Amino acid sequence: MLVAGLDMGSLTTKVVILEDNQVLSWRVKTAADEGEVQARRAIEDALKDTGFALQDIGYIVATGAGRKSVSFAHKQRAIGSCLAKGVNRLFPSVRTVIDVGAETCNVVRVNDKGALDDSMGNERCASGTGVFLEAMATRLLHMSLEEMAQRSLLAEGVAEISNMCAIFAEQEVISHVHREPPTPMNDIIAGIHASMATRVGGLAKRVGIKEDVAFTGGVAKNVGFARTLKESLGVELTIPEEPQLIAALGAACVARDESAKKS
Amino acid sequence: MKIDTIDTTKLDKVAEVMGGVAERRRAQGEAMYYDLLANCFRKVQRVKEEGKYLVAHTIFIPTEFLFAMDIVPFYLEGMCEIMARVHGLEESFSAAKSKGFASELCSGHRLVDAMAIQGWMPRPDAFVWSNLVCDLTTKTGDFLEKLYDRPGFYLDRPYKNTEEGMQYYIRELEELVHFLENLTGRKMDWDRLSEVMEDTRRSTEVFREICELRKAVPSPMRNQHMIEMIMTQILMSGSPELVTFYEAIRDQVKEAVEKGEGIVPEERYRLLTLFYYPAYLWKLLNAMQTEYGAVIVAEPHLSVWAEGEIDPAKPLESLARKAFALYDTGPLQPFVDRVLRQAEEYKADGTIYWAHIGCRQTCATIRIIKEVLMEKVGIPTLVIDCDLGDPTYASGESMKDKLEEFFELLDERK
Repeated sequence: MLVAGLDMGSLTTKVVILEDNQVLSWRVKTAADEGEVQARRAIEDALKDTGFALQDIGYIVATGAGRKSVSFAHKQRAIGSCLAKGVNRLFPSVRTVIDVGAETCNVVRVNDKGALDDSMGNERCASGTGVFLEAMATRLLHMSLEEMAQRSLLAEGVAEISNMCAIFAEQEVISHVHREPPTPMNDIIAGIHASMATRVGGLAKRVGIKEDVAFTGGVAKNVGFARTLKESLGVELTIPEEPQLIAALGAACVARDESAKKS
Repeated sequence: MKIDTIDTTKLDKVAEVMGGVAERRRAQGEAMYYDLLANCFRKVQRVKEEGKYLVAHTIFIPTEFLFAMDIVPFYLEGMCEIMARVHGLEESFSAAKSKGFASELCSGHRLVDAMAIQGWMPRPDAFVWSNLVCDLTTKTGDFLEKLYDRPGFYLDRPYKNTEEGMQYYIRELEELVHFLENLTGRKMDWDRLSEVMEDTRRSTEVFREICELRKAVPSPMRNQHMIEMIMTQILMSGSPELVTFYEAIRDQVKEAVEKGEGIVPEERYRLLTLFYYPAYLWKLLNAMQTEYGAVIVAEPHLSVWAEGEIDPAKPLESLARKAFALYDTGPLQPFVDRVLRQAEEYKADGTIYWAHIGCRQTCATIRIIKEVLMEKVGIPTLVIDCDLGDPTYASGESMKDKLEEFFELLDERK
């Protein structure tokens, strides 16, 4: 039986396709089209070379910010339950998931049945999300995210940067760059990561951190930030191989369960 | 800063709008609440022409004294919020901000300040305020007294419910009576006050009946009825109209219970809610019922008015007991006990905490209550960051998103 999970994020669309409960295919596509079209293209792309077509998929679950735009999904689920299911499939011992995406930050508690126990998302602020790092890297520091991540690992100190607001943080970075003598770039980057880790960690503590802790979402690929977050929280972080796919994987698991109920 | 000119057209418009809403709702049998609101505003409109006194008061001030002395009340937080919604919330918040009332302050009080600053609030003969429910209420009264250059009385309720505290508060109530006597040049008619207190006793009795009936499964009452009951309680406790309103709700609810009928065709989630719903989101309360089968079975912060014995022959003691039943001001433990009790008695599946961003004291208790609910009765709590009166803080859509996720969580727990 073929089922699919779609995570309609603000920057990317993720698809995971399961065949008889095994991952058949997956894709991460930058969001270039309007929701429904984007979803369809993402699935079709994921199905390329599999010999299957969209109509062969028995059950589709959509999650993420754009989930309501996917009219052909059989079901829409909020991100929290999909993250819980996705992580539980890969790491059954995980009890807390910290998911940082382009524009969202969600913390999810998973119970010992692998289901959602509690969740909270960031409110009204980009400073705990991927766009914050993106803006810092590309606009202010004129480097790629990968370079920024690597350089933070070489920092000897941590520049003091506001953790309250992305805009204020930008101003502080500029003042660090232009002061006499200028703050070392690696330290500025470490400060940016520390500021964001405080924000993300604060959200996690509101929900309550219970080990094991998984770190997912596109920002989990940032090795510099991941290290800073680990140090800030004082816990080991389990990072999946493709951390941005977890919600889509969870949505596919929901699709599998729903389709089993139907048959 | 002083307010010299009052724009009375603002109040007139609100009375007209409330009357219009009542007419529109009449066909659905939902006019009663709006009729009561409209009448409250109309009484304020007519106060001078009828030669009466107008006293503006903050939340939970005993209106019984005012009715007994034929004084017209103006409930500041509630009526100013309605006025602001009719005339424009954004304009009102901007007016408050222009006078230094930061957006971090409770929007309920910012709207009172806004109505005052703009000269839209009618000029009362006096202000009465207290430390119920917070320190901002205390300061609001101070501000208004100076702004309108009117006499004011501050009612001080002690933090703890002790015998000494009770006696102190009874003396405070006596002082309030003296203040009103000096204001009006009339003595309190204590027989009349006992009559008014009989209505308070009766409405409290009916309130309790409703609270008991709501324990039924399926839930027999609409989600928004409790907020209507509390609003009218604050506006007109001690009036026969309140008794009639509560009896109408009680009869509806009783009939549903006797027939075994729920307010929704398929009840899926039974919820406790904590603190006050955002005032601009009553549609969300209805959507919770109609779209999700989510019924609100109890509101531990609000149903407290059913506590305390009301003896019409002992009005001051009775009103003091009623004031001490409020958990917004006072030690936390009795409130936690009440939340746990209601979670069990009303068979709640989950809890929603409306985390009003402007309210420090209630937000400080969220984690404690959330953990206790999970540990002791095993029910999860959704915390929704919102603002009581400011719709720009969190949209209805974002709240609906959070509710959907919470309902999925409740489904997984079944």
